[in-house]
Amino acid sequence: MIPLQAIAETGTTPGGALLVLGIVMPAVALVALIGLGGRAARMIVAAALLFQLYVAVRVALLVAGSATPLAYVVGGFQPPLGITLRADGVSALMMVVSAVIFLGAASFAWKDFAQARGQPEARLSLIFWSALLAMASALNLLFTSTDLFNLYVGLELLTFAAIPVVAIKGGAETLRAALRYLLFAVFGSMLYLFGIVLIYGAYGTLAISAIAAQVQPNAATLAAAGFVTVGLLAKTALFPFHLWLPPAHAGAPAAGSAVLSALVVKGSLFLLMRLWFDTFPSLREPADMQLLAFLGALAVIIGSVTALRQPRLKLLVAYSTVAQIGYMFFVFTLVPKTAGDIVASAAWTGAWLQVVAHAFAKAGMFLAAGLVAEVLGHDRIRDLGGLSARAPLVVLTFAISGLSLMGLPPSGGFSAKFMLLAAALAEGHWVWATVIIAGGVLAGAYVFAVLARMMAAPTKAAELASIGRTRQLIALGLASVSVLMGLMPLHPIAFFEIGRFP
Amino acid sequence: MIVTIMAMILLPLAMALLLLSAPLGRLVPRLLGVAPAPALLLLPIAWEGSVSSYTLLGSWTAIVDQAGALLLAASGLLWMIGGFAASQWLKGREGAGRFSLWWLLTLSGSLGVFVAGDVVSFYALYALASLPAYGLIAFGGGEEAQRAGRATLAAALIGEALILAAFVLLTVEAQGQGLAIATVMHALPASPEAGLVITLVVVGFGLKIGLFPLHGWMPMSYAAGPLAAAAVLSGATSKAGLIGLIRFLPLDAPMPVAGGMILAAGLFSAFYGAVLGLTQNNPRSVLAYSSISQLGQMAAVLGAGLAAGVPGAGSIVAFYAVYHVLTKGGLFLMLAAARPPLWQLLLAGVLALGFAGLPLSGGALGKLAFKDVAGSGVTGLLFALAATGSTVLMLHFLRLVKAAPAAAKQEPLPGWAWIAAGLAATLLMWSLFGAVTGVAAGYALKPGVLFELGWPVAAGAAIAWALAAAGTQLPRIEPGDVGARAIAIAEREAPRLARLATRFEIRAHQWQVSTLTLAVVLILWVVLQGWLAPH
Repeated sequence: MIPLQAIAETGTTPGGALLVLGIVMPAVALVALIGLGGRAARMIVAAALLFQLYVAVRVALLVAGSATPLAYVVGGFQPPLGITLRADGVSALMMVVSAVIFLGAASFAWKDFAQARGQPEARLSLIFWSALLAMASALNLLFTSTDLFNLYVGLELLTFAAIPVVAIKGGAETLRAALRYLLFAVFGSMLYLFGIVLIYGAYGTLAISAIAAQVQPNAATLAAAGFVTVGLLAKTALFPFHLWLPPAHAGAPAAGSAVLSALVVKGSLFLLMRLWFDTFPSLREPADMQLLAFLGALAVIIGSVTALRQPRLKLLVAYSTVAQIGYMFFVFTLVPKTAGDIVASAAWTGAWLQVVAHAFAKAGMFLAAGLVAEVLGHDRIRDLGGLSARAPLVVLTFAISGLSLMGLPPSGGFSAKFMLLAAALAEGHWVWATVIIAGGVLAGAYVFAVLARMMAAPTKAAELASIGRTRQLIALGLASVSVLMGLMPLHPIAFFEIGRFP
Repeated sequence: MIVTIMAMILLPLAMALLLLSAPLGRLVPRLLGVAPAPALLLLPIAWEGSVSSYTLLGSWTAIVDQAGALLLAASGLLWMIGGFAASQWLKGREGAGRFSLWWLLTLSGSLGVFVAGDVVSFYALYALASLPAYGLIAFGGGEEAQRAGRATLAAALIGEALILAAFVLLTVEAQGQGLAIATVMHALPASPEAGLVITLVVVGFGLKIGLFPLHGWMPMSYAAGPLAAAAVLSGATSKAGLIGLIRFLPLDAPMPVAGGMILAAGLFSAFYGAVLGLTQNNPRSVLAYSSISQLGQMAAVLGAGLAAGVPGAGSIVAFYAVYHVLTKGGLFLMLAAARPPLWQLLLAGVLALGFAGLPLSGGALGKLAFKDVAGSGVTGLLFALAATGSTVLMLHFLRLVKAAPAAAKQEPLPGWAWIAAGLAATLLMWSLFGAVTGVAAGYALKPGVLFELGWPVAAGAAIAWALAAAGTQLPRIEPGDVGARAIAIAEREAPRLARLATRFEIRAHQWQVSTLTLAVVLILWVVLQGWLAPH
């Protein structure tokens, strides 16, 4: 493992330029999109996202091959003057995951946001495609940046690209949801920004490695860490700061919801993990980490119960996101300060598996929910009867996404839960273990409640719209990834550990 | 062998996938009886004592031993007989595809769980044997059926949760040496968490076998679904809980306290089921209570085996279970027959009294095998008295069948099905006895043995006759008794708790509250960090 200081000395690693491409290419495509107009939009987006997948896979292969992180020193200026991009194991992982899900969502939305020939250009499709590219760029920036201001830029870009996706359907309700999201996100950003100003004041740098090397538990640092953390909690929609998530994620078009729930909330979570595992690892106070885990536990329980009581499918799926995010916060208390032992690795692997499995399962589930709404013309859970006869692939997609959310094997959700539970029980965290298990029962209840309705006899004859087979297969494909993840052996994954800050 | 095992698990799943395609999917409901065919290839292993394990896919492994093979043989046959019967019943019925889907999923898990060799595949297949049963029970769609389905699903989900906790603890205690059942169980007896793991195992699987007081859902659900579904659920899938106990109780290490407690709980269940069953006047509920009683006895034998450290107890219990699988399934299928003729009633009577150990019946051989583990002293007497209870209960069942009006039997299932199941049960028991116990089956014909088996049945018959002669009217108790009461309370209280949680969520959802909490968390954060930390 090469610590960051060493990278700063050695500079750019082979293949490091890929990291720049991962951020810049979607941005270039965005410019081209605006320049060339909506007619070429889809092609440009497709090319950009395919290229992004190529970049992500290359990065992952290079990281895996050398078992060291990739780095790129922009312009040759060493930090703290210049900017370093860096991809460790989890960065590479998230780059691949996001590239795959963006491609899936884009192909799902292909027809919905088409620009019909011979008609005046519609602004909506242009907005959708440019927002998609901007989110892709912002996420890669978040995954590879090594300095707190750069990360802030990524965070803001992500939020501002996500908001138009929420609002794109128009209508009072979605606009209200978008506004809510905007206000809360800006509030979170303010807190984050305030925190990093304090850090800059105390250390004169925002480079993660430099801060980590000299961090002191003084008042300014403690306050700064608090501001930054709470700001990020608001952006990650951890209970009880989730008020913006259900209306925003339920109001967006299906492909948008998939990206928002699967990836966008993970952006700020990624940053939070960078912060506590890389920037201030020595400041990880057990009491504070328990506070995070406590909010995570509330999210799991209250989020799941609330999901169970939703009358509409998309809202149920959105509340399930609130609950599933909760699991990810157990990592803060389950990974002990002294890294390197098997328990720490199990918790670390479990948390990332949860992030990835949830990303694919939730993307599949939101796309399925979108198709349900399209077939039936509504998404009232009570009236889902007969869907299994009409759109069996959609029901199958919902079922296998549900498998992962419930944590039944074989699925990534099961592996994640098993690892987190193993870490919790080995460390004697009985309360968190109980919550993880209870969350599975509740998820089982809400998934089954929906499946039972879908499989029931039709309540009344309804006019059914037809949906293309391609989109059903895309949704099924994304959901299947979460199930295939369950075939990986059940022990800590070394790739996730590559380049963790010591 | 690997191919056979994979085919056994995957064939029903493949058939379930076929339901997705419109033209081929229509064939599937007609072929339900074919789905368990691969399991029959494993039949010969029931006669062998060997244990072998196989790697299926990744870390998923299979283990084939006598206990598993015995349960597999009986369950495979029952699923096949039940499948042919269900196919006939489904002909032209609305929702045949739906029913077949739930049927095939349950079938795959129900058979697969008997050969699962590691905790992950066991957990997966156990879930597959448990959760889709909801669809079979709620198939009719009526309020009662849905309620029974929900109760069964809730019991299954809670059971899964407890089992998951046990499995993760087992894996942690095995210090990452692997996930194979043999590996994790090897580390258990010495582990400081052994008591907790055994408690989780007994309660988790106890929910599946209806161990008192976890039995409430069983009479509800067996009375609700279509008869073919009740037959396979009561006969085959309940044994998923039994194999769980066999696999996850450390039977080779003597644990007198834990074993004694399981023995006591099982025997209590045995008597409780027999007595409460008498208060039922629906033959299906009576059969459900008989299952509670029978599975209680099987748990009791495992408890005795654990107390004394008898590794062979698993095979012996599985052997007795062979009779229960096929006969209990068969008796449910018989309920479809409108006004069975006398010879059929007599045959049903012999089969039913087999549960009490009627001499020469297949069940008697199972009771004899029990003696190796729990045959002597007070325990042996209690088992004999449990057999007396079973006799009274089964005579009550036969009287209900004889008296029930033809109109109450409206599910046209083929008449041969239950007879085939009963004959298969009897044949299997007689031919397997020697292989399992090491004693020739002729032992069961010795006069002393016949008397030993016969007196509890005779006593039971006398009690039943006395009760009838005195015209005793037992109180009628709601199916599921205290368990049903608990379920009713849960049905009332769970939505209330959920409403409470939702109200809390709505409160937290408000702007002012959320931002205020944000400030509170921030302050709390800094305080915790600055104040509590020993900097």
